[in-house]
Amino acid sequence: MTISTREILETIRMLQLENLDVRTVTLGISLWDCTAPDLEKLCSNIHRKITSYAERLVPVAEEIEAEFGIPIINKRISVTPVSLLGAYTAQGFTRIAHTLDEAAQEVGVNFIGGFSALVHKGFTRGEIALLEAIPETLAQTERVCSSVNVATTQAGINMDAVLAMGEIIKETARSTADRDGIGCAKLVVFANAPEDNPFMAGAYHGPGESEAVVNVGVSGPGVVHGVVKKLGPDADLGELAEQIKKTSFKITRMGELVGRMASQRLGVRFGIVDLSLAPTPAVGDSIANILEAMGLERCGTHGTTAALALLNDAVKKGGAMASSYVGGLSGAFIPVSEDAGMVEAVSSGALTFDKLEAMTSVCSVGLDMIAVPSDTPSETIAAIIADEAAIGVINKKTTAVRVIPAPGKKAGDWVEFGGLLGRAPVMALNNFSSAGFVRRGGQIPAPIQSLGN
Amino acid sequence: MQTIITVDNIARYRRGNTICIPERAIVTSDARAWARGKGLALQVQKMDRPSREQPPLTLAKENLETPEEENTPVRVVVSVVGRDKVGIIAGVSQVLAQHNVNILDISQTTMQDLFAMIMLVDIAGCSESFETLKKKLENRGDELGVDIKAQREEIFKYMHRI
Repeated sequence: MTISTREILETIRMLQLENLDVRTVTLGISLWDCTAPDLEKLCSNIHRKITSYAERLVPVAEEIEAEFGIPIINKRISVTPVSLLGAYTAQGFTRIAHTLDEAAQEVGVNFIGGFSALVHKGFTRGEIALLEAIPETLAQTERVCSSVNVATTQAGINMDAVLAMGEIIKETARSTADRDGIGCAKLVVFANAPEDNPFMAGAYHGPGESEAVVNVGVSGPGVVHGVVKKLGPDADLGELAEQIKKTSFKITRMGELVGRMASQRLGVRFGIVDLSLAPTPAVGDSIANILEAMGLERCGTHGTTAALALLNDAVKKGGAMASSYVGGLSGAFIPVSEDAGMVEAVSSGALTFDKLEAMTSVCSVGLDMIAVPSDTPSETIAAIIADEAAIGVINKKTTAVRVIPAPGKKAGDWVEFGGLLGRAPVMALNNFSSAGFVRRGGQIPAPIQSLGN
Repeated sequence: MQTIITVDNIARYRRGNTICIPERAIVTSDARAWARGKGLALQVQKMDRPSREQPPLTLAKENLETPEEENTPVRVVVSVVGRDKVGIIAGVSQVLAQHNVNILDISQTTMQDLFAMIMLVDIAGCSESFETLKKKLENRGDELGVDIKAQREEIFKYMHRI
């Protein structure tokens, strides 16, 4: 036998005991050729294109799952940012979103990303209408995800967009108040948004991409946790990094295999593997638990940023070796509600909002799935976005904000989203106002690229 | 300029089961993937450009399906994990033999005080589909009180070999 029994058992252990899975196979579809002079025609073109390209996505993913014994948790679709398809009214854009929702339902995917606008350097008329349409759209549709890019390292930060997003997030929470503000879980504000990200809610099919492409997001915090635990308390940090790297290699190879198989069977180009460690609320599938296994009493205490930096870098090194095409967000995710260990750390008082912000400077993807009090002013949310965008812009990396001003809740209360979105305690924020700063508006200039300290 | 062939226009170059591409044409990787997905071969031919007289070929649906045989797994790893008892190997081999599956290699060990048996089998001559065989093995596992999985060999190769 060319493969040893030990290796086979290692793979089986990863899959069965350590929750190893492929988190998402995302089919990116360009909608450029759907444009039409009238809205109805556009919608029927979009519907036809998505349903014909993605018709076999779910069956193919299920075939691969069965043959290789690898669970593929989500099958998803990303499309060209809808704001690029023309200057429609807010109602028009909501109508397009309904078309996306229906097409997604027909082909059996649980999320479709691309109700998006790229406004890092200013707005077009169409983009303003799309932003206006976000709260209603996320309330009325079930599967549509929205993202807005408000900053890039090349352009700086569009503070008018940042301020607008503060209000849009509040409104989205209000429009889905009956469901704990779940609309906000489908809305991401980005700095340096990647064009080939397979993960929701921030996935869209970038303007530089081709007709259609298969992108794969791997997972595997449970596997990395297992490895760190097995090394014991005496292994030094170099050894730790080395083992994490090797494990990441194996996880990524699996993602690459699934991506290539899916690409071949769908007759669509293979895009990238996203090397993110994506946690789930399942016990043992947590990023926080990895950091704790490294020797921190609780995630969030001093040393957390360093531990996370080590983890993130080792994952990237192993992954980059395993796949020729790496892209998307590629880093450890630290979504609070989706990670049982993070939730535990927040409720025990070890992990604060400010520490989370610090952690985002060394990993992807940002302040993610954090519930904040419902009476948070929109200017404070805008300021949170501005801080996060600044970290991304200065460090030339992707950052994002996905916060949920939980309707009717105050700090310490709990929100329940259910499923992979999990549950989380509402986190306390700084109560001093940022309004004077964010209300100034304008564009924060792009940062200098030399003098790099 | 050289001809650029993308997914949008590749169907125009199709002649039966091959894609006849003009010399020096640029074929995007999307277009290549499309052809591969449909099981069409690419062939470079001396021709100036897609002749205008020839109408774009309509895509006959039945010709577009990928040939079945290509994707049928051949070597499969059957793993059995559970409490050791009499008759596990016999029970599993019986299912395999019934469906004309050849056992290439077999080994056993223990994993955290559990019995673990690994079989490498060739299912090229299998009388049932891979899915049915998988189901039958799982059912047999339930009868024997062990966990039986069948997975294509590539997953293990890909993960542990460069």
